Amino acid sequence: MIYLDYGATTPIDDEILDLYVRIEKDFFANTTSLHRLGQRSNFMFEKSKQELLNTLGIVNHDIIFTSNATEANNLAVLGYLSKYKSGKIITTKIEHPSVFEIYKHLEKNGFEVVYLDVLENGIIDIEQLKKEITKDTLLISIMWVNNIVGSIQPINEVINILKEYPRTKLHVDAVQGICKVKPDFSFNDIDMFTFSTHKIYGPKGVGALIYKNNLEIDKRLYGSNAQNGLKPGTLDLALVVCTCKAIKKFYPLTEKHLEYVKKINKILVDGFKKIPYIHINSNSFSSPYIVNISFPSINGETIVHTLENSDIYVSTGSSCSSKLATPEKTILAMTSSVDLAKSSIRISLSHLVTEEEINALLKALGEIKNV
Amino acid sequence: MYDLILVRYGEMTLKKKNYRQFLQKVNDNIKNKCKGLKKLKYFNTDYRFYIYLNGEDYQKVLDILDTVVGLYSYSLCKQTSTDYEAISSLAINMIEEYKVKYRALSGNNNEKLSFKVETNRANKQFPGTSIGISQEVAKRILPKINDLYVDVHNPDITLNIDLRTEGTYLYVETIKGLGGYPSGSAGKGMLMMSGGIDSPVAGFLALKKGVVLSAIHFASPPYTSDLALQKVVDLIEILAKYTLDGKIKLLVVPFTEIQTAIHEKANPIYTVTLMRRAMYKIACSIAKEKKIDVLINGESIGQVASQTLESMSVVNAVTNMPIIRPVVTYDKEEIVSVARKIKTYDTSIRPYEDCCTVFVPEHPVIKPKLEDVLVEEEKCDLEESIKKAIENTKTITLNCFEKYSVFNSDSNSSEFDI
Repeated sequence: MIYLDYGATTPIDDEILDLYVRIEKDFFANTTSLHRLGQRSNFMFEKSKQELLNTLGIVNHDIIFTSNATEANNLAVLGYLSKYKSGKIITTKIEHPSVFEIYKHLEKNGFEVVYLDVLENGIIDIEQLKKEITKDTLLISIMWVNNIVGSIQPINEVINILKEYPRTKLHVDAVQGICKVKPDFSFNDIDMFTFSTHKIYGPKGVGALIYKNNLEIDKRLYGSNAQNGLKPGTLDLALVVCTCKAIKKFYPLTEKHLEYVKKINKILVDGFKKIPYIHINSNSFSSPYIVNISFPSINGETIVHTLENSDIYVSTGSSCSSKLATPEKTILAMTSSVDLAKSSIRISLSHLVTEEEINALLKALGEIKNV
Repeated sequence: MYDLILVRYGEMTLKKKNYRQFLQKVNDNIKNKCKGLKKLKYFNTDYRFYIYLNGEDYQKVLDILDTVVGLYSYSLCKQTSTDYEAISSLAINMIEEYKVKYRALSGNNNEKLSFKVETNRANKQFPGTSIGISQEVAKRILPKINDLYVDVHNPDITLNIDLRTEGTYLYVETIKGLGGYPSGSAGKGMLMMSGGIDSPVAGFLALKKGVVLSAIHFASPPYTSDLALQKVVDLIEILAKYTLDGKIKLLVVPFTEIQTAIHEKANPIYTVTLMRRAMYKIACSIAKEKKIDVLINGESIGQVASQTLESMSVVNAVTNMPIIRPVVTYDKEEIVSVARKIKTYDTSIRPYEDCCTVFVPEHPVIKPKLEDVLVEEEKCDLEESIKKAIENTKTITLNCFEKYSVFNSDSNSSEFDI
């Protein structure tokens, strides 16, 4: 099997899986129970939170564990805006559906929404942001690394612009960036950001929202007081501890893995350049973890299934919306070509991918024209 | 981006003869707390303390200064060369930058902001008078910034020029410090700590006046839980931030036997009075042995039955040691506002039973008489139990750097490794 869909999800790391089992067995007591056993679990919970934040160098934020990044994004945007009935909010045309659809919903319900364009390189139009932002803008949501083409957004520049707008809060979807790309900003300067554990070799079913201590976020779910009242319900401590472990294990390896992935990315892209009918949608501004290409005139889905026959796994668009037959919105926003947007596939890499696997993919794609 | 932090001293500047001692103490305290930041250099005059950043992160220094008692305020300064052109051009940048922040913080949305220049001419080589220099600089700034006008009496923004022999420094913003006297300048006190909202505030106010603090807590397991003790531990760890070395000792007194004896033998309306008398006796006896000068607690007049002046007097009758009650005249609201400021509030409101909430009668006596109390106390025969409680008191040394867990005193055990 050649798995090249790490942007969709990753296989769980052995050490993390072992930890998961150990915590489920040894720390099964409810973290909110008053007895000693419960408090032992709660101690482990607090310790995990602290070690996670320490690893990321975060000093003034709190963390809420949710069921996934989608829930974390909903909690961030809707929880922060809940005290407002209307107002100006800004996002981009290339957000993941877990942010994009929230803004669509808010637009229908009285908010003035600006969707920033992206330039041909997949990066947001920063000049447009400067033009659109006002001192009354409530919230800006910008993803760190785009999930379709991998374009890295200029978060640091956005932070600098926002210094002039103290009322405007910044929300960053960090799912495709964390443990992969080296941040050019400090997490301490971001009001709210989210990530998901299963993208960094941890278990599925857990995501996190990290937000500034003094930020008021309102609950979306009603129930107990667990996790500051923002995520009521019994906590799966093992998922939390594994999230901490994944960050502790892979965040310090970010640069090392990035260097390796750059190397295999180059082999891949050089290979593509030799195949005349392939159009490469990713570029030098993209995260090397994601390579997006189009086969004009062949449907992306056809290619996915053809490769699948050779036991090679890639995806069309993002897996989160890939069953929709509409043209991929990020590629469309970048190229304005429906043809390129409909025929795109995404190859997403990892430090686990070998050169042989890349060569096998190139060989299989080279033969596709004959299908 | 900043070169220097200018620090002004607090309350101690009112002192005459002892001023030198206070000065020495507060300067040592700042240096001691900043010792992790190796590149810092220090200099002081009689009324100001200067911290040269030499590339250290100013925010880290500010975070430390926010925990040093005895400081009135501080300002972040930038260095420039000693000529009018350089001073004015840096001043314009700093004012433009600060304007945005000032408007955001103060909500002042007037079209124009008032402004003045103030000069401290310590460098007598620089020609002119302080006022003359201020005017020269203002003249150069005003035409360059369009929404400013001069108001020397009531300025929104003050540009300060500090002309020193080693360099010229500018600042526009002044950050308020904790105030009070330098830590360790006022003797030792023992804080009686239940875990409520008031006692941590009382402890903080005492720390601010330079008192060296330890704390005493009365635990009545199984009526009170480990969670209640953990709450006290967490509160003290917050307070420890404001001490010189980041440490506070907590004494935990086993109180169950005394509390059950009172509950079983005395008239229930006196339960609270008798309990408090026993606590005072124990605390005073330990304090004397440890050469601690005073007890400190969070009592506030009339807040509950045991805090009427009559109750206080009957309870206080067990000792002649001074009892300091920093919040005695505060309203609850005022206490809560300090608790929120020092971030003890959220911990204090955790809903666990503490020694003051178990066995509390529905209608305690509000104006107890000493002779009646003594009769009830006699019935309980507490002397032996008190002696035993003192003997079995445990000491935990807490600090603000790492969390202590009541549940896992062995929290470094490998079962908690992640």
